[in-house]
Amino acid sequence: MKPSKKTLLVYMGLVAILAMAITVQLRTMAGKDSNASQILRNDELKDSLLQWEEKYNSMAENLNQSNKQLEKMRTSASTYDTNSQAKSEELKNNNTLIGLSKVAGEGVVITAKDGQATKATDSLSDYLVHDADLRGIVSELCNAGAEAISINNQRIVNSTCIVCAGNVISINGEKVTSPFIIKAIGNQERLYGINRPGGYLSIMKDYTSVEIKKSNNVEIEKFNGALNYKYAKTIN
Amino acid sequence: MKLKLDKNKTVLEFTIGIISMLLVSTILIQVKSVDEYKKSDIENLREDEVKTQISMYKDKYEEAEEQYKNNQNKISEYQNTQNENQKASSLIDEELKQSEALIGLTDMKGEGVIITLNNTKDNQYTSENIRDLINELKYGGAEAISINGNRIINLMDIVTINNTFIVMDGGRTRLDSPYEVKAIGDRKYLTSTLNMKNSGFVDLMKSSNLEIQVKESDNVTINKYNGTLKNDYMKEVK
Repeated sequence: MKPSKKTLLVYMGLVAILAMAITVQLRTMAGKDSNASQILRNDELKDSLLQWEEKYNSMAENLNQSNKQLEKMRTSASTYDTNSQAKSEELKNNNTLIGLSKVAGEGVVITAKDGQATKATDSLSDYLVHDADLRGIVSELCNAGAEAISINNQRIVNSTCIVCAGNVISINGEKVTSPFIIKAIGNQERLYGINRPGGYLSIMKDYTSVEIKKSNNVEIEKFNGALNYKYAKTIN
Repeated sequence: MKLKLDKNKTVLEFTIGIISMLLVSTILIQVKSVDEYKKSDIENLREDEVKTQISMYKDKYEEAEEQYKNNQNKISEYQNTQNENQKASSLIDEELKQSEALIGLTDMKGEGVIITLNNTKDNQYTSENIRDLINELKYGGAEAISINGNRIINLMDIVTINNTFIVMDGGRTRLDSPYEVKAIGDRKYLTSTLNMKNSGFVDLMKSSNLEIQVKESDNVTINKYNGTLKNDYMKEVK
């Protein structure tokens, strides 16, 4: 007795579907693969970029780990006397000021998005959120007493510059693009005051989409890079 | 007879089952590699963009590596001194000093540039000009900056009040022309950033009839920040 025709048909159908799926996959891959390998072959630079990016990422991870370990060592070292416990607290406090720890508190969250040109005669550039706009917002937030600020999770630290990098904006050397989420911790009412008529946000509203919201719990990530002095020496 | 037929059927089912499994796992592997390919979305970058990105990652890598080595040294020092209270507390002292220097609470010296800005009859410097200059200096890698002797720390504000005068540090300090801006950092890199043709800060100011001089120096001294730092609203989270 042979297996019933029904079973055979089901098996055949299954195999056909799977084979088709594989073919489709292989085709997509083949197209992409040749494309990718061609680019990499043509341009070793891009290969090298990926390598450096990876190298940096793994080093940043190492750094993160060693920071945690150091923190542990410090705590255990400071358990011996109360004097160094106080110092260790001060150190922690300093690190929040520098931007080396994640912080939370009341504040505002601003969302700034590129606008849409409505007429063909409009200049497209007018409708974009530019690096100068972000600097303007940060400046107003500082003036309103912000204690911590981040843009798209890039913490603003003392070495931060916000510059134009072609069609994107670079902050802390990382590329950020619209929509920009700007978070600030500080006195909620004062920070919200940057929404006043004539303020920077109201000027931006003419061309781009800007929203500001109060929040009782704004969380701001720590700065991920390294902060140290190469050229500057302390004078005692 | 019946038994034999059943055996045949089982073998057939087994074979088909294994083939199906192979096919499914092949598909899964394929799907995964396609996903990974998408991650490295670098094909759209222009060559000069790639170059800048590489040098950026190199810089960041080197900085992170240096900090990492520092940390490792400190960790091993802590480990060596774990049972000697005094040494351990002097290590904390040292770390505390470093963090104070990073905030801007210590006087600093080093090579760098001194920039003098003068208002002219035709035009006056705005607070935005000065903020842009500071942004450019940071882009050029400035490690410490001061204006007319006032140290710039993180989140320092410089604004124009009543469209007339420029104040910084929450209105505590008034700034007037001539503005002397000092910066410590790689002086060659700082000057070349400012002197970039047309788009650099120097050319931009000169084209708006403002006076600007940039001087390199071996020994720039920058005072510490004199105010108090407030930390009323933010709390550290783990």
